[in-house]
Amino acid sequence: MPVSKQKTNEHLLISDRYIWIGLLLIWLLYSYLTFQTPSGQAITKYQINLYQINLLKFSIIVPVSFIWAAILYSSLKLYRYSQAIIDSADGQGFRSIAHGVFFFLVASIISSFISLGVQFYPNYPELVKNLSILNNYVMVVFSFVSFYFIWLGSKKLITMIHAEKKAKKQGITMWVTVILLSIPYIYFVLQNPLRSQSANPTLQSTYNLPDVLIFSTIVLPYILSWLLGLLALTNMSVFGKETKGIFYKNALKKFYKGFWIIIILAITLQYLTQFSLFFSNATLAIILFIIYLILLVDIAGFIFMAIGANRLSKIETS
Amino acid sequence: MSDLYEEIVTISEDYLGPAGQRFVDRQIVFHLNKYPQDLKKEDVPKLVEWVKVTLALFADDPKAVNECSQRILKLAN
Repeated sequence: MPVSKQKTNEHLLISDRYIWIGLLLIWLLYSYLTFQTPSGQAITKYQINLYQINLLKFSIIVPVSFIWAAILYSSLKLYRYSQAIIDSADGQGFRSIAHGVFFFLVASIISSFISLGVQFYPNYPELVKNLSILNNYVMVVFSFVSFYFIWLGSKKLITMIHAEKKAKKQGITMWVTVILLSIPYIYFVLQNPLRSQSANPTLQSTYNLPDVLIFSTIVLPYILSWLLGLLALTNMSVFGKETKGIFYKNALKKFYKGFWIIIILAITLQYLTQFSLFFSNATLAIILFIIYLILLVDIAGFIFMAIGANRLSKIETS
Repeated sequence: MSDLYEEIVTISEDYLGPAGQRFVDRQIVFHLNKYPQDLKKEDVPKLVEWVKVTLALFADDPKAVNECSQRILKLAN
């Protein structure tokens, strides 16, 4: 038994190494392409020189690498943890959660590359429009899929300890929260003058879609994603309270603290998206402040998740 | 399974939750080179040493680590 387990661990470690090398190559390509994007429009708009533009690009690339690394680290640790206990009910739950976390990484990478595409061809409005639509759909689909897998995993954990009733009861609070959050969100979407199209060629529309598609294929799936995320949080918090084990609970707490941050950020980002007009007129300092704040919060969330996942993994491998 | 083993698992579940039994099994198999069902009272002190060392690798509460070790050690008497 000890020999076969050691072999499994070695195999996982080797495949982990390839995944890390893969991420490094993707990040290098992303960094290279970022520095190749044309800077003419930004230089004119914000009255800064090429050196400053490159400095800004660098200051975005670095935190992005931290975010990608933290997401990959936590999803691999969770996956390894789940594989170590795959025969038990919690193993299957955590594997599903690991898949959900991994989809956050896929979404972030694809979206970053599509955004680069938009920056490469600013003079091709039709292409920019189509890439923006594609980017919105990538984000909405992966956001939904990520939260769905995490919710599915958390549901398995709840079923394992037979706390479905308690989780259902506490879940009602999350339904009410989502309804309360959706009302102002829908209001802000309706108030967003750039949601369907932009009369000004220098300003991009938020969605480039008619209202019926915005609400049925963007707004509604996002609201459902929030619901799944918040229900997953409820399940995890009930699981953390009902299950035994001081050290196990501490590791879980770290993980869902991070997940809290990620959900709050996901909701905030959707609100912020509705203020495209404000951001298009804002100074560079305000835009940078908001971007760095988002990146910082994102890093904090995924680092908490990574610490929790690492501790859970250590419990099963020590 | 022996009563001694069951008691050790119950104690470790207070600290490691659903991972408790798996943790105890690993310590017995890897460090004592025994099957869990063959665990005897005289193995407990050595098992406690390993439990203490291993818990210290990931636990951030030294008091709880000591408490867990002491509770298991008492089963040897």
